[in-house]
Amino acid sequence: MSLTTYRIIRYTMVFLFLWFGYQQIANPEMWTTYLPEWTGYFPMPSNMIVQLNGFFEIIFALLLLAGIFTRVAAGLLGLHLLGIAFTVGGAIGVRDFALAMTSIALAFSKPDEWTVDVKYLRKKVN
Amino acid sequence: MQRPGLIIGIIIAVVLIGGFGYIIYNGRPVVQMEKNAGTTQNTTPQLNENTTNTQPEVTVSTTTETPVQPPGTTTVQNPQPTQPTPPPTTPEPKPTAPPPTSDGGAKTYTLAQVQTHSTQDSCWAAINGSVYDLTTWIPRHPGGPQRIIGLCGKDGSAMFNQKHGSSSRAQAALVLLKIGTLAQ
Repeated sequence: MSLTTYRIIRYTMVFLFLWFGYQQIANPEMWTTYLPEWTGYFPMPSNMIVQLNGFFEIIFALLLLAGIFTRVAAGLLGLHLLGIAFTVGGAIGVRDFALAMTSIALAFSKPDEWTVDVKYLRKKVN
Repeated sequence: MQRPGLIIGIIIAVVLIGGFGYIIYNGRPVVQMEKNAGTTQNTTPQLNENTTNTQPEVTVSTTTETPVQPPGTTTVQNPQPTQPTPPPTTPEPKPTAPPPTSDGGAKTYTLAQVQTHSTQDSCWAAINGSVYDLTTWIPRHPGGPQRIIGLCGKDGSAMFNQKHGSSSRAQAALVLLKIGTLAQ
């Protein structure tokens, strides 16, 4: 994968997770319908679960943006979205599956020069 | 792991734990109920106390002095002025539904108010003397959403006690959804 391709995919995924994370924190009641049944065993309200999920996505999206632990952040976000895809199902699940695989592909690629990992932590580039 | 990476990892962990703790602390059911009680008190409809039914003062002037008339002449008395009709009074605004009463942060609802929330988009139910907002619980119910939808706008005490009367987990989940008490 070329560096330009990697950067395009990385920043696109950053925008995706930042937007969804912000929406979940700002309007959690709009996302409670997507919570699976097994979250009913959690001793916390639905809105709180959604907001925690959104906060998680925002933090790791920022890590992906800065290029800190890039592969770990991309892999975790990809697995997270993969779980959502299988939980929600349907057309939304198919779309989320494709996005999740894109994020997992980032995790299998070495980060580009515009990341803290390469610039300051001296990790190898492609 | 190199030292800068370790420091960054610790910072990220602190931010994550701090953020989760903040969301959990501010999202506690007690805090949410207090917020709801505060917003309801600010939005309770208040009748305008300045609107009073006042009738304008009606003055009727009557002539007390009669002019001297020469003999043989007829007089035409001026017709007495008719009393002006009072302006129509403005009807007092009638509140459509009584606002929920507040008692130290816990609101009180009547069964009629609960019955107005009988849809999947706004699902309230009265269970064992308390009112619960089950809207967000519908997709999360382990036994399926239909059982919760069937309780919308009703008193579900019998059904809940039959199914979950001895379940501490169900009781704990129900507490998180409480929004007030049922008026007797």
